[in-house]
Amino acid sequence: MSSIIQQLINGVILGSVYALLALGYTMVYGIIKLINFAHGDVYMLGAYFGYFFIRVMHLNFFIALILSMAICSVLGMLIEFIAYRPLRHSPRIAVLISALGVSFFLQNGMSYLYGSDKRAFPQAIETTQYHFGALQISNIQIIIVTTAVALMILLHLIVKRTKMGRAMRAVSADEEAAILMGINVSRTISFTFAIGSALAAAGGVLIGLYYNNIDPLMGMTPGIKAFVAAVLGGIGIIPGAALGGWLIGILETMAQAVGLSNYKDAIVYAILIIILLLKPTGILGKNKREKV
Amino acid sequence: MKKIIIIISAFVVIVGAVIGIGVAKKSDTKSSNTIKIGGVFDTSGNISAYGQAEQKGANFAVKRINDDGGVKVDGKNYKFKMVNKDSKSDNTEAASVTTNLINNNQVNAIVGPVVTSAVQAAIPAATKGKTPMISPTAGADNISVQKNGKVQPYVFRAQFKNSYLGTKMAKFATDNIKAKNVIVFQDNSSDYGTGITAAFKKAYTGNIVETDSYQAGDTDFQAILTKIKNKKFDAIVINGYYTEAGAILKQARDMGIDVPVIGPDGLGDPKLAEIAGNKNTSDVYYAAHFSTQALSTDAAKSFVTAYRKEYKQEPSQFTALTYDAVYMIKQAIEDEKSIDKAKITTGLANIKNFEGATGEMTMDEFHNPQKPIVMVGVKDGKDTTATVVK
Amino acid sequence: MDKTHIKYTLSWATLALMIFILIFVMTIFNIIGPYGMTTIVLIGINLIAAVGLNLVIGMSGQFSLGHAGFMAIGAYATALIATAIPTVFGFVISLLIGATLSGIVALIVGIPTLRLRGDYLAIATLGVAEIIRILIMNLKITRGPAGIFAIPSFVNWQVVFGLSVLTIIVVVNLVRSTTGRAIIAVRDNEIAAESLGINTTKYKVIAFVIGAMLAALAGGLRASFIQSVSPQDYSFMQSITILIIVVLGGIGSISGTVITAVALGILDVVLQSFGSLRMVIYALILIIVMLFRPQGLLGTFEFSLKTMLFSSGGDNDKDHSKNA
Repeated sequence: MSSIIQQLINGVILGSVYALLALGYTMVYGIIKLINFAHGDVYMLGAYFGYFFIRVMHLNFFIALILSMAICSVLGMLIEFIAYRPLRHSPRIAVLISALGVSFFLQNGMSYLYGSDKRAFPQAIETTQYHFGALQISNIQIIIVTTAVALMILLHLIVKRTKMGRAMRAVSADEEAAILMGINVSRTISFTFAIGSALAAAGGVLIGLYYNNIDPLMGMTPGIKAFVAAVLGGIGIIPGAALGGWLIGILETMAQAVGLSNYKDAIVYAILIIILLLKPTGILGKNKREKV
Repeated sequence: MKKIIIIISAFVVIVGAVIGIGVAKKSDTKSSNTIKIGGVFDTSGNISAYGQAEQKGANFAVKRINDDGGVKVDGKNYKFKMVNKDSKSDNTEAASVTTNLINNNQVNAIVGPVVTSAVQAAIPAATKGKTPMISPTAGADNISVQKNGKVQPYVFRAQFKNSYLGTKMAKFATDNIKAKNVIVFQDNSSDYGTGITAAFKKAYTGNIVETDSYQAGDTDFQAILTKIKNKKFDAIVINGYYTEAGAILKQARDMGIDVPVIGPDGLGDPKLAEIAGNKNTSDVYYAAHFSTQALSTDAAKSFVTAYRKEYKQEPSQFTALTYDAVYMIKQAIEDEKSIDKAKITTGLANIKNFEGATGEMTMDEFHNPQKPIVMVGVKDGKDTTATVVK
Repeated sequence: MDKTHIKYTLSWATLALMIFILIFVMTIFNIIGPYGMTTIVLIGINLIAAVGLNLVIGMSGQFSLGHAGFMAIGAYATALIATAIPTVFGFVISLLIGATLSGIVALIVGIPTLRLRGDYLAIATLGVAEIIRILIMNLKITRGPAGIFAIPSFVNWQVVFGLSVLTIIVVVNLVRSTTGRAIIAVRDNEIAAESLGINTTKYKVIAFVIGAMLAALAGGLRASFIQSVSPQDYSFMQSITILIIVVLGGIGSISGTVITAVALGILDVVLQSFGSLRMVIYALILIIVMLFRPQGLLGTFEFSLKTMLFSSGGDNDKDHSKNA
C-alpha cells in the first residue's frame, strides 16, 4: 500500500516537471496557435544559464534562477521577433517549420559550442530526504512541486487579473477585434513569449538541480511529452496543462510500477489517443474554448 | 514546336558534353604520401556525445602518430590524415557517409561507426568498396559474421562482444561480489543494453529478481527504484551508458539503496561520477578495457599521460577504443608493409599481441579482439581497484 | 483520350526519359560514382515518402506527424519477407504486403482520428507512429533495438528512379481525378464540401491511406537498399525530415516536393563534412527559407509542361499561376 502511495507521489513530481514545461506551450498555443517546438530548447538554455551562474559566477541558487529566467524571457521575445513575427500572417505550418528550425539551431548550436556531453549541474542545494513512515520525499522534490503549483497560480492570476492578461485573452479570442479595441497585439504576444520562456527557464534550472545533469538535447523528449500533456489537458487552458502533466507523470510511473517499463511511452500515447477520440479537444477543452 | 526542338537539341549537347568529359577524364592516380583514414562518427544528433568523444580519440591518435614521424613503408614515409564525416545519429546516413569516404575521398581504411545498428547499415558499403572498417564500440556479436556463418571480411571492432561482456559481468557478480540475487536495468533503446542483458541472464547462476527497461534520454528513475526498493537483492546490474547510469546511481543512493552496482564499459567515463556525485559513486564496478588506476600496458600509460596533458581531463573508454582502432590500422600497415586496402584488411585480421591503450589483444577468426576484461571498482568517484576477470 | 492529353503525357515521359539517359550516361563515364548513385537512391526514397505526405497534408489538408510509423511498417515487411524469400519475386511481394499492411493500419487509425482537427490530429498521428516504433522495439520477430540486417538488396538507382516517376504519375493523376477534386475540396472548405454532399471523412481517409502506402513503399525500398533496419531509423525525427521536404517545397505542390527533395539531398552531401556544425547550418537554412518563402519554394505552383511548351504566349512566369 505504502509503495502505491509512494509511486503516486513520484508520479506527481514527474508530472510537475512536465506541467512546468506544458504551461509555456499552452500559453503560446493559446495566443498564436503555434506548437512552439523551440520551447523545450529554451528550457535547455535556462538550465545552461543556471549552470553558468552557479558554477562559473558562484551566485546564490535563487539569484541564478531569477537571472536565468530574465535572460530567457528576453531570448524568448527575440526568438519570437526574428523567427515568428514576420510569419504571423503566413500559413501556420510555415511558423511550425520555423519553430523547428529554431529548435535545431539552439540544440546544435549549444552542442557545437559546448559539446553534446552531459554536464553535472552544481548541487547548489544539498539534498535532504524526509521520511514519513515508509514514504520518502526530498527537499528538492518539494521545491519542484511547490514551484510548479506557485507558478500555475501566479500565471492564472496574471491572465485573469492584470491588464496584460486581459489583453492576452482578447488577442487569443479575436485578434482583429483586439486591434480595434486598441490592444497592441505585437506587444501582447511578446509578453506571452517572455512569460512562457521565463517559465521554461525556471523549469530548466530546477530540473537541472533535481536530476543533476544537463545536455544540449535535454529539451527534446520532455518537450514532446509536455506538448502531449498540454494537448491532453486541452491546449490553451492553463489548468489543463497542469492536469495533463500530472496525468502523464502518474501514467508513466504506474506503467513502470506494474512492470511495463518497456511500453511506458506507448501506454501514454495510447491513452492520449483514446482521450482525444472521446473528447477531441482534450480533457478540459470546451467547444467555446477559453484560451490563454 | 520550336521550344521542343530547342530543348531536345540542348539535351543532346549536354549528353555529348558529358560523354566528352567522361572520355577526356583521366584517372589521376598521383602517388601521395598520406594515408587517409575515414571517420564515420555521429557528431550531431542524439548520440553525439559518444560520437564526439570518439572523433576526439581518432584525431588524437592521428596527431600522435604524425608527431612520432608517421609510418614507414618500404623506405617511404607516410603521414596519417583523418577525414571525418558526420553521420548525424542516423543509420542511413552512416551508410551514405561510408560510401562517400570510400569512393570520393578514397580512404585507405575506416574507423567507425559508433553503434551496432549503424555498423550494420555501413557493412554493405564497406564490402562493396573492399575497404576495412573498424568500429570502436559496436558490441553486437553478429556484426562480423555473415549469414552463412563465415566472417564478414571487412568488418572489425575494438570493442568486446556483448556476449563476452555479459558473461564476464555475470562471473564477476557471482565470484567477487558474491551476489545471489540481482536486479537488472537495461537500456532498451540500443542493442548494447539488451544484448549484454541477454548474455548476462544466460551466464548468471544466481537469481535475477527482475529486469526493468529504460530508454536512452530518460532522466527520472524514481518509479522503477521505488518498485525494487523493498525487494531482496544484493546487487544492481545496469546495462547501458554512463549518461543514464549516472542518473540511476544518484537517485538510487538518494533513496537509500546502497548495494553494489555492476555495469559494462559504457559506464567507463569520468562523467559518471560527475552526474551521480562523487559521494554516490561508491561500490560501483564496471567492465573496462583499461583503468587509469591500474594501467596494464605501456601503450595505456603513454596514452593516458599524453591525453591528460593535451586535454586536461581523463580519457573515457570511448576515446581509448577509438584511439586503439587507429593504432591497429597503423600496426596492420607496418605488418603488411603496404598501404593497400586489401593488405590492411589482412593485417587487421592477423593482429597478434597488439599492445594498445585498452590492453594487449589478438584478433580472433571473427575479427573480435581477444583481450582481458578488467573490472574497475569505483569509490567516492575514483577508480580504486582493478580486478582481472579470467 | 483526347489528342492534347496524349501530347502532354508523351512530353512528360520524354522529360523523365531524358533525365534518366543523362544520369545513365554520367554513371557510365563515372561522373556519378557509387556515392552519387547512393545519393540518387536516397533522394528518390525521400521523394516517394514526401509525395505521399504531400497528398495527406497538401491535398487533403490533414496535418500528420506520423509518417515514420508507416515507413517503419514497410521497412520491416521488406526486411522480414525479402530475407525469407531472397528473390526479386519475394522483394516485390514484400513491398506489396508492406504497403497493404500500412494501408490497413492507416485505415484503422484514420477512421476514428481523422475526425480530429489540425493539431490534435498531428499529436494523435505522432502517438500512433511512436506506438508502432515501440512495438517494433519490443517484439521478438523484429529483433529488438538491433533490428534486422543482411537483407538482400534488390534496389539500385534505376529501380528507385522508375518508382519515383511512377509515384508522381499516380499521385498527379489521382489529384486530377474526381476523387482528387473531392479531396482538395475538403481541404479548401470542409463545411462547403460537406454541404455539397462530399463524404469528407471518406476522402480524408483515402488520402491518408494512400499516403501511408507510399510511405511503406519508401520504407521497403530503403530497407532493401541499406540492407538493414532498426527502430531508431523511424523515430519522430524521420517524420520531421519528410515534413520539412513537403513544407519547404510548398504544401500542395508536387513539383515543389520534387525540387526540395533533390535540393535537400544534395545539401546533405555538402553538410556531411561539417561535423557538429552541420545541423546548425541546416537549421539556419530552414528558418531563412521560411522567412523569405513562407508558402514554400514553389507555393502551390505546379511546374507545367503545358504552359512551357505549348502555350503560344510563352507565359511561364511562375508568380502568375501561384495563388498561395
